[in-house]
Amino acid sequence: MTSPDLQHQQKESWGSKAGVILAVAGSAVGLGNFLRFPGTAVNNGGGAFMVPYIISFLLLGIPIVWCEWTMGRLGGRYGQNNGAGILYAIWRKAPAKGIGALTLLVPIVVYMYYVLLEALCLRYSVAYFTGGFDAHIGAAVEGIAKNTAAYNDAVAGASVEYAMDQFALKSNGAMFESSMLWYVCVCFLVNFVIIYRGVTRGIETFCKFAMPLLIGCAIIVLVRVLTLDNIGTGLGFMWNPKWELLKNPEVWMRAAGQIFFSLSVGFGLILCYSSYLKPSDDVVLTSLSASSANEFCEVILGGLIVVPAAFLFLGSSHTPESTFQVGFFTVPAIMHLMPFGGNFFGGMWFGLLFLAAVTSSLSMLQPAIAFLEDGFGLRRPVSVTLLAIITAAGASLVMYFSLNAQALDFTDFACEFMMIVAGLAQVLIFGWVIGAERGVNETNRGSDFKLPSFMPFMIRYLTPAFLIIVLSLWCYYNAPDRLRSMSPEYKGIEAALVAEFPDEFTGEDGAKKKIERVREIQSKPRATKPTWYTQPTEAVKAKIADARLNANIARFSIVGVGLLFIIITAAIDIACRNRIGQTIAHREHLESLMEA
Amino acid sequence: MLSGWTFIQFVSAQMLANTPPTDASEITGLTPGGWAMMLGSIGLVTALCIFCIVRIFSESKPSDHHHVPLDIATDEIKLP
Repeated sequence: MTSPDLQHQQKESWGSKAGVILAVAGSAVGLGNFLRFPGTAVNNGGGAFMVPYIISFLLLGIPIVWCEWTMGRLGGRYGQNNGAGILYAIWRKAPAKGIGALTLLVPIVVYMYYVLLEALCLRYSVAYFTGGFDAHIGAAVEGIAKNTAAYNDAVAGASVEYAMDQFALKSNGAMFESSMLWYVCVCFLVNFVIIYRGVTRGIETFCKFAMPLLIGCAIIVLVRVLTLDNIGTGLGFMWNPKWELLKNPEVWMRAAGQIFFSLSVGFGLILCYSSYLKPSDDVVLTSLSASSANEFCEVILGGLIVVPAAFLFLGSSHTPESTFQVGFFTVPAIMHLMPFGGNFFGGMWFGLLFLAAVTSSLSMLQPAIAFLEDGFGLRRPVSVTLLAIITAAGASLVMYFSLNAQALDFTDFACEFMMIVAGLAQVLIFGWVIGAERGVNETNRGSDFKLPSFMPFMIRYLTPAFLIIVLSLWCYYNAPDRLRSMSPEYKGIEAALVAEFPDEFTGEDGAKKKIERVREIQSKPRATKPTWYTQPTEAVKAKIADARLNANIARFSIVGVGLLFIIITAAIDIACRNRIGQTIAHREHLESLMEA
Repeated sequence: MLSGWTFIQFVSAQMLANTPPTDASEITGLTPGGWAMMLGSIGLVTALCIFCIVRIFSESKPSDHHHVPLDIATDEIKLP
C-alpha cells in the first residue's frame, strides 16, 4: 500500500475565531430555528414550553456540545477531520466504527432531502421578488373582497396548492417535470462550489458573509411583524403559557428533541468543524458562542415572527407543528396578506431561509469530504465529484418519490432516530471511554473560563440518563405509527376503511378506534375480511393501491438508509485498517518522541 | 393520484377550518404570564449572547504562538 505523504500534508484550519463561531452557528441555524421551533412551542404549551426547553438546553444541549467540540479538537490532533476517524482515534474498538458510520451517514442522508427544501426556499424567494407568487394567488382570489375572512381563507388555500405543486406532493416523478429541478441543480452547484473551495476559503468566507446578512434580514422582517396592528394578540397566542401541559411527558420529549436537533448535535457536524481548531483553541467559549447565536435565531427571531403573524391573519388553526406545513403552507399566505410590502418581506424571508439552508447544507457535506480525503487520500476534485454523484443519486430518489413527501418523511424519521443514538453514544464515549474528569480537563485546555466542577458528574450520569429517557419517549410516541405506516396491508385496509366510513374516525378517539378496527380486520383470514376491502369499488381500489405504494416507499426508504449504513461502515473499516490507522499511529509516534 | 387528492383535502380542511378553538377566541393579548415568559426567554438568550461577545472581546491574546508537539512535523519520522 502506498504510504500517505503525511509529513507534507497541509492541514486545514479555521482562519479566525469569528469565522469558526459563524460557521458552526451557520450549521446549526437552519429551517428548524425559524419554522420548527415556533410550531413546536405553540402546540406544546406556548410560553410554558420554554421551561422544559431551557432545562433541556442546560442539561442536554450544552454538555453534549462541549463533549463533541472537545472530541473533535482531540481528533484533529490525530489528523482526523471526520467523525469516523475522530471516534476511532479516541476508541480503537469496532463499535467506534459503527458510531462513526452514523456520523457520516446522517449528514449525507439529511442532505439528500434538505437540498430540496433549500431549493424550495430559493424558488419562493424568486417567486416573491418576480411577482410569480402574487400572480398565482391573485388568480385564486379573483372576485373575493379583500380584508375578509373568505379572502384570507382563499389565500391560505391557494398557498397550500402552490406548495403542493412546487413540491409535487400529488404524484411521483412530477418534480422532474417542473422548474424545481433547475432550482435543485442551482443549489447543488452553489453548495459544491463552496465546499470545493475548502474550509477557510469556502465555508468560513461564505458564513462570514451569510450569517450577518441572514440575521439582518430576519431583524427587518421581525420589525415589520412587530409593527403590525394588534400583534399583541398574536404574541399572546404564541407566548401565553399553558402550564397544565407541563404534566404531559410528550411536551418534555418535544422540548428535548427541539434542543437536540436545533444545536445539530449527534450529527457529526460539530466533530468535523471542531477538528479544524488548533489544539490550544478555546472550545468552551467558542461552542457557547455558537450555541447562543443559534438560540438567538431560534427564540427571538423564530419565536416572534411566524406564529404571531400567522395567528393575526389566519387564526389559530394555521399553526401546524410540521416544519414543512408551517414554512410552505402558512408563511407564504401570511407574507402575501401582510400590508405594505408583503412581497418584499416574503422574498427577503425566503432569501434568509435559503442562506440558512446553505450554511447548514455545507456542514452536512464537509464530514463526508473529510472522510474521503482522510480515509482514502482522495484529492479535493475527486472527493467533491464522488460526493456530488452519491448525493445527487439519493436526492433524485427523494425527488422522484414525492407523493405525500413519503420518502422525505421516512428518511427524516430514520435520521432523527440515528441522531439521538449517535448523540448518546458520543456522550458515553466522552464520559466512560475518555473518562469524564480527563475529558473535562481536555475541554478546559486553552479555555478562557473553566467548566464547573459538577460537569464530570453531569456528563457521566445526568446527560446520558436524560438522553436515554428522550430516546425511549421518542420511540414510544413515534415508532408504533411509523411501523404501521410501513405495512402495505395495514395501510390498504386503513385507506379502504376511511373511504367506506369517512365520518366515523375523526378526532383523537377516532384515530384510536381506527387503529383497533384495522388491526381487527388485519388479523382475520382473507375469506372473512369485509367485502368492501376484498372486493372494493374502482375508486376504493385506487385508494388502496396508493396507500400500499406509500407503505412500500416507506419501506424502501428505511432499507435504503440501512444499506447505506452497511456500505459506509465497510468503507470506514477499510480506511481504519489502512490510511486512518496509519495516520493516527504516525501522530502518536510523533507525540511520544516529543514527550521523550 | 387519488391519495394526493385525499391529502390535499385533508390539508385544506385543516387550513381552511376557520373556527378557532374555544380558548383562542379569548386571546386578546399577552397575559402577565405571557409577558414574563416572553421577556424572560428573550432576556436569557440576549444575556447569554452578550456574555459570550464580551468574553470573546475581553479574552487575552490567543495562544496561537504556543505550538504543541503535534503541530510540529519533522521529516525525521518515516511512516510505519
